[in-house]
Amino acid sequence: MKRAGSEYFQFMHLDYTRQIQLLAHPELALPNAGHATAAEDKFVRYLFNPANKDGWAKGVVFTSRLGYDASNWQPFREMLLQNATKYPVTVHRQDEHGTHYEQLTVLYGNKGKPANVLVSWSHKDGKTHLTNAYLKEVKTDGTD
Amino acid sequence: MERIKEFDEVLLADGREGAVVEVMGDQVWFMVDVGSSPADWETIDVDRGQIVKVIRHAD
Repeated sequence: MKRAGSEYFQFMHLDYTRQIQLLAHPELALPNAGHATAAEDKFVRYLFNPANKDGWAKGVVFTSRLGYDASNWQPFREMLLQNATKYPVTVHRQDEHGTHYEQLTVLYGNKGKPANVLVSWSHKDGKTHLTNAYLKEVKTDGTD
Repeated sequence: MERIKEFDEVLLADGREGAVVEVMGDQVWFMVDVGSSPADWETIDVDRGQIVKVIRHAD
């Protein structure tokens, strides 16, 4: 049992709050979330590619916090796709190139440590794909 | 004008550096990762005129 006030408890509360928000407001669901896709390149050529400075910096944090790296990015992708259906989204931008969303999620990974992960998605012509994902500090002002 | 590709590392007109994570349309606008840590990472939208140059081309 996790103690109230612990970091784990705080993440569980945050996770619960977000998922309840989607249940209460199904209009906040990511369109086509159950069939969303995430390209291999986002993981292999960006997040877990030491030759890409920006991507690698984010990948190292995912590795440290969640235990995912270039050798096991597939379950990481699977978790991001599964979570697509569970959390509400906000519209980041809408134009002729589609609607672009941001989704704050909680991932638990394989190190027993939860993480606040911001995932970006684009939706156009009935298809939804992941555009970005990175770990984000939880705001302490309650806006998360 | 130089074409920008996904994962290119770019210099922006405001002096920041970042990585292109999505190219929209035919070089119409771009999603660019900026920041240096989980405290300030963000993805911003920029148009072609806001990209000064490619610092490093993606593999």
